[in-house]
Amino acid sequence: MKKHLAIQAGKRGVVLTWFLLFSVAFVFAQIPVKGTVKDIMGEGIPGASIQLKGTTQGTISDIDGNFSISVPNKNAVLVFSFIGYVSVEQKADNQRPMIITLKEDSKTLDEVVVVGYQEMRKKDLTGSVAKASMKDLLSTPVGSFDQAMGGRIAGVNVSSGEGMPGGQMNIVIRGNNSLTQDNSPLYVIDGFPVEDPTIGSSINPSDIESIDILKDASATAIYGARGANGVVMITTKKGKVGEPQITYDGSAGFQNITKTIPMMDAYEFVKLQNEISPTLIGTTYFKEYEGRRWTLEDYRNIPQYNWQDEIFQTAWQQNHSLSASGGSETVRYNASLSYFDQDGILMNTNYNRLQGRLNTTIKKNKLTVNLATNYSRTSQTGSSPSQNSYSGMNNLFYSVWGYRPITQPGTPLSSLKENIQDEDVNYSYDYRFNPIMSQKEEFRKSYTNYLQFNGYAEYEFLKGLKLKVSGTYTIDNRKGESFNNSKTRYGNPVSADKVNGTFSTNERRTWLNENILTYQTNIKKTHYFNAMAGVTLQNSDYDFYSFKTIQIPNESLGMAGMNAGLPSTTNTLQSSWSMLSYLGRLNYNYKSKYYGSVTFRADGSSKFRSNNRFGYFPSASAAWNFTEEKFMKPLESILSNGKLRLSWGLTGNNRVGEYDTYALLQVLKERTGDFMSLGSVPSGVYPFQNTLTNTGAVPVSLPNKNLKWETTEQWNLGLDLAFFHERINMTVDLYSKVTRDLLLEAALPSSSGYVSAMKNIGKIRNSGVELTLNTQNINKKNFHWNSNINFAINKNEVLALADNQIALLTAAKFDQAYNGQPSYIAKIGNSMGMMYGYIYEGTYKYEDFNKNGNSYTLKSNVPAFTSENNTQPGMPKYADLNGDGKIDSNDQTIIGNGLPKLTGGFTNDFEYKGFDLSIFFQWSCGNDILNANKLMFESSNSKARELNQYASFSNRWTPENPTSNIPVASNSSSNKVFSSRLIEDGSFLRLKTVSLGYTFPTKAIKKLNLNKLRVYVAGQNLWTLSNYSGYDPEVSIRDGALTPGLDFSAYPRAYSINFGINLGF
Amino acid sequence: MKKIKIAVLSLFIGTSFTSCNFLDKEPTSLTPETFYSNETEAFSALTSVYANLLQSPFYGSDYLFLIGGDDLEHFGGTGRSPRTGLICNNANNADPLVSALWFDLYSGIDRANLFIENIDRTPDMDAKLKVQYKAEARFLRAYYYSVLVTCWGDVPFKTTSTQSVNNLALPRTNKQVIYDFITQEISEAANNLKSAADLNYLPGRISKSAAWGILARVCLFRAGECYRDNEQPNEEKRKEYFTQASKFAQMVMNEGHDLAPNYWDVFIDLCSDQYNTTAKESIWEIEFAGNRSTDTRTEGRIGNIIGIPAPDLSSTTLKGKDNPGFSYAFIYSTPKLLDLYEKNGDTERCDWNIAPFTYQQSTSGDRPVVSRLFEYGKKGTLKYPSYEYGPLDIEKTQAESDKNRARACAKFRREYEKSDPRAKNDTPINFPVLRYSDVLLMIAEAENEINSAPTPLAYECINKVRTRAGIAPLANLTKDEFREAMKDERAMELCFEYTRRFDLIRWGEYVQKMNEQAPIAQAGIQWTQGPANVYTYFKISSAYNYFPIPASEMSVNSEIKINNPGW
Repeated sequence: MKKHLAIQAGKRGVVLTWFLLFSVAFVFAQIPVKGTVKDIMGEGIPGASIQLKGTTQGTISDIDGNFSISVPNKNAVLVFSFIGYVSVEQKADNQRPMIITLKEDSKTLDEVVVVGYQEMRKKDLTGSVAKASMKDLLSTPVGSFDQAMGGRIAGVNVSSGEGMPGGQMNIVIRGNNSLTQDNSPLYVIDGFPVEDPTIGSSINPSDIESIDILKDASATAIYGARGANGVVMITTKKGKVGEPQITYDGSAGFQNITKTIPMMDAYEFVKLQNEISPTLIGTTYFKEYEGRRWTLEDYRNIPQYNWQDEIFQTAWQQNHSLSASGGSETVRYNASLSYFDQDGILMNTNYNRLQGRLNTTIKKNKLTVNLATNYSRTSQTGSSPSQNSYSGMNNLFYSVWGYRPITQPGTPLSSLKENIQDEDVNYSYDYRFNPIMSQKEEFRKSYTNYLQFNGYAEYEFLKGLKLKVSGTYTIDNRKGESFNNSKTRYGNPVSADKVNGTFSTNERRTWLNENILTYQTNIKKTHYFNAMAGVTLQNSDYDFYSFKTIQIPNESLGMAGMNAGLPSTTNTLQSSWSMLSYLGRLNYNYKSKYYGSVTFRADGSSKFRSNNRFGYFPSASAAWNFTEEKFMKPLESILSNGKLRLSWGLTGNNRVGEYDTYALLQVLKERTGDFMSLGSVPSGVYPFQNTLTNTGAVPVSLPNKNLKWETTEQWNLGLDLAFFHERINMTVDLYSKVTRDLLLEAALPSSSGYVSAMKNIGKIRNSGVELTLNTQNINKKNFHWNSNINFAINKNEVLALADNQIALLTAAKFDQAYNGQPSYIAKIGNSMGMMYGYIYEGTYKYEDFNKNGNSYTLKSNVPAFTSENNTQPGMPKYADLNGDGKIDSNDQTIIGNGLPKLTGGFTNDFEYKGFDLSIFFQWSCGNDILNANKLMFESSNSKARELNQYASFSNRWTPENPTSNIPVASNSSSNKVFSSRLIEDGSFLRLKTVSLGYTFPTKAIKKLNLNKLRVYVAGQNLWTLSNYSGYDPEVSIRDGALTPGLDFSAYPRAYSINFGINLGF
Repeated sequence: MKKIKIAVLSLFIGTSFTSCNFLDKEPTSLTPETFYSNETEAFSALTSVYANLLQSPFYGSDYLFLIGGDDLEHFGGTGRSPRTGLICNNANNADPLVSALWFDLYSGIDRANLFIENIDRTPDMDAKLKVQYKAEARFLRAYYYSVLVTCWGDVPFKTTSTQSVNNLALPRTNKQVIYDFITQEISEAANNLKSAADLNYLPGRISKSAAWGILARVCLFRAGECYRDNEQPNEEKRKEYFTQASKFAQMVMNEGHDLAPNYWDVFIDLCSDQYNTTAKESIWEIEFAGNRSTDTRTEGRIGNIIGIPAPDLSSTTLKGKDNPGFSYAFIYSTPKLLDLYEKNGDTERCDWNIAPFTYQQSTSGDRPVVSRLFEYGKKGTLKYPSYEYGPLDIEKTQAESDKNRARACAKFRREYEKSDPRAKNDTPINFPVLRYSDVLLMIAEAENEINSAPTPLAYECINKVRTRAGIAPLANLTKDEFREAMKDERAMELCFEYTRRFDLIRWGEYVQKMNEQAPIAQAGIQWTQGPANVYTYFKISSAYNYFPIPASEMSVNSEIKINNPGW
């Protein structure tokens, strides 16, 4: 069974080029020729191109592979070609039907990759550009393409902070360049550059023709000021000349939690309560009820709740995509509609997307016009359980894990489910909330409406000289709705605001105009030139409005009843930026042996003042295809292709606020408590004579008129090797990039009146190795086995920071009790994103104390934690690193590493007759996780009364268990610090994707008027090897260069099984 | 060739449509350049200079913890684990409260600098008003510096606004230089401030009285600086500072202020959004307002952090005396304060300042407050107006009362808040920075020191305060006796108004008086209001005479290399 229409997506670009080259005119010829184009299995190939050699005349084979064409004479030669197949030239034969067999072309070097403003053959690349295999990416149904990209491409690190449906994916290419600013790459969608990493979710993955990742500077410098973080080029599908193709892809399946965390059962829970408050227990769990006093033994096998069982669900998902494409030489079209709907494994969470697009290309003489539009509406229900609020006790999993499994004797167990709060918990100090009720009742919805119009006109002045003028307009409109009724954490009668609702909307409108001139020529087929020059203009306007009302009287109306509440916070914001760029590229090659390429871009941005407005970003690269040399010819049967590449270039990063060069004043109306975090400012309001309206404009930022681009200088040395007629392809890249003038939200001496300002300061180096190996292990008629394995190692080093700073300490925010305590450090000479705290040495043991009656005093030679007033046996003990006899903040050090040392993936694709099987493993090595959950659930503190704990806490230190290194249940302040006790190895090996499909033979489905029928089952996240004790090792709730790998109340990751069908008509 | 020309030309068609200022984008926010365009904006800028006073690191909340630990008050509450910070004697130089206060004060200073530099360019503004506003900003700047100096000693000092992001490292300036600045600045600014009378004795705005009174306080503290630095007292200098203190304090005497008839009048005013209803006693208050029902949030935590313990009934519809307003009651007195009142026969201030009762809740329904449990002998004896619960009120036995002589601070009481029901944590209660009784006691103290014996003026001032409190006037004391009496008087009159810690420091007694409490607390007799290890809060070292320079400052300010001693 061959894949006529099975889409070798990566190769489609070839067809496009072919058709551009052969503009087919009307056929004048006299001699009719007929025939069939078949594959080696004997199946007809529909849509194959039949071209009269040396002319622009030709035709396309029909659904059965049949064709007919008229040729001028008997000696005419026909060229038969089809995407993914080796072209065949044959003399026309009008005597009998011609049978042409096309062989599959397994060569990847002729693939076309999309580089900035142009396409190039992979073979001709001088820089480091990787192509994603769309076939692999789409082997399992995902909501957006980036969800499937993790581990697929060397050096492209794709992860999500947690497992929430529709959650944002973070793509980092070749390490983080920027400390405080966004490190996500630039996305270029059909030529339209977007800096917003959430853009991926507005595209239907099956509309994507190809994804190319530009990694080194010679590839990215053409995007100049925005290229430093790498570029993800996304090209969507266009219509192709040929019969209309109608396809339907559908799938449905389910997801489930991969594991739950063992919690204490009723027995262990009561045992702990007894330990925390032995004086109270006689009136609570050990009270007299029904004529007898209850004891611990009564709780052995008592009915109880496990709240995780209650809050997780089997979640359904479905995906439908309908598309039609086709066209003639003059008009080509591609249209699609899709719907994706995914419930989350946490109840009341959902993500769905409705999307439609239309793309038309019209060609008349030398003018080609393309008009396209794409609209998508995504809607997300539920909010992330790890969102930062004042207290970590507001986070969902604090209640899911912490809600107690039982009640006291005499109180019905079901009361825990029915009441909004646990009546035995003092909610003034503990914000625990009925997790089921809060998850059910909280209304959180966000919508994104993304509309894009684009069009271009291309005119060919001379052969090879083309001008392309394009324009794009996008509207990205987002809306957020949240409503807290009286049964929710933030709207219950105890809350300050009572029933409340918030509505917010923001819109970004961007237009882009690009004018690109390209010229392609060669001298005697020896010297090939390709030049490009262009001017682009871009403007973007943004506005944001939100309002909130509180104390809403009629909660049954939901958002519609907001008008009846008291007006509360109103926020507005507007901003605008523009960019003017000049760019150019010159490629040269000599007989496909020696290559040279230079690019240049000048970017002017409104974000900077006139003295620094323009940034200049050059690059240069060269390649040597040494297998083209005569002396390599004898080795051709072994080494079929070898190329050495070297590149250098400068790229920039402009991810700063629109008005960061100005001193700004703002009216801040709320007294804030979070003063020491970067960018925070005291408010400007003062109620003279109790009048609430006296607000003052406060200076919120210092002017930095000299702010400019952050510049990254990158070297890349690459080697591409292909062995045994490209059965084995290998690419190795070595790179080193240094980012200077870092745009850094730099800490200032607060004696200046400011905590931080945006400055060009600091220096970061990323260097690494990437290796990709593609092999065709078996390539028999009925059996194919291809493998792809990739590795990437990146070493990140901070070279300089703000003046005088040797380390930048950061507190990852998740709870007010810890927000002032730094948990991460970026120190000169080390990688950024290192975890910071004390080294845990276990618990204080009896031998550390002098016993005096019943009291224990620490021996004088045993260091004590300074803020612990009364150290007792079983309390946590930390290393006294500086040996000064006490443990204080000077004993903190690096305790973990949030960034992986080695990442990669391993894909195996098998085909046997109609069956296809794809197995994909992903791994990450050498990174740690800061499991902040343990601060509350493996450590009993003052808030811990009635708070259930992880089952692992059963093994805590007690007088009966004096060797344990899990701290005693006590009111200890030394429990409340970051230490190596919380650090866990985050390395993992994951069976990420398995998909098994069967494609029915064409013959069998012809009667059904189908030309393709494939059914499949696909699983994701099926198995993970990891030592991490939390839900999932791929977690980072405050993801960013400074605070990677933090876990606190993260949305767990699900595994999923989907059943699907691909239909082609 | 022609075609090539056309092609190249058309490349630039798009650009030619755009004008050359395509890349100019004006900010959509206000900027200092465009501000100060009229009187309203000038007042708005002045408001923001005041605003630093009510932020949470300062009077808005955390200052109440920061300087709350002394020999009369401590962080208490049965079974409550210690806070991390100065108040529980376990702070370090990265203490977030310390860093936040430091930043808030410097933010205020920078806003004042900016205001002083720009106010003059406001068009069409009354010249007198300009001068007054400027004087207010100058006073506030000096006040922020005075807090910095009393807490930290030598600190970075600047009187121009920050204009650049570079070269911001500033060394510490000798505190004597800053004291000279404060003295000159406040005395000059006072000339241009409105008098309290012109402000209708509304103590939210800075008046001449407030300026002189605060300056007197600064001078007194300066006189005691030698003690915390372990220097030989320079009696001549000390006398000079006492003379200045007396002079400025006496200037307040002519401004029409007086003590309210009852000690509690001024505090009931503070709690109920009123000002000086009975006499012009309150000179400067930090204002708080609102009940969290509006966009503008200017509520504080006074009465909630520090107040009579009361249950949280904010989830119910209970109002009035059923729900007198939630308080965590973090601040408790030490038994020493009660001893002092009893020794002086001072029941009025005692009954107001430390709670002689706790609220009792009903056991049914929404559990409203239905009665009070009084300390022995206190039922039915309170003289101030308050919620009456009537027959259900009960009283402890003498033995029960004697078991615990550490009681919650009751100076700030939420039951007088006007809005009802009250927000859970946020209160409109103002903070009394300067009262007339403090001015009188400062004169008494300074006069005694200047003349090496209590003068008639000294007796007049201290006795006025004592008489109002209903205790016997003093007479015939030696200098030292008078000084000790004055110290006790300040304790009884001004406890929980956050002067005690600095008083002890300037008297050179802070470390000693604190450590004296430790064995008493450890013994636990008459003192059960706190965790078992409450005694450790009092075992402070001499490092506590100063705050630590925040680590966040030192890590980026290359000009500060040495922290305060012991930090």
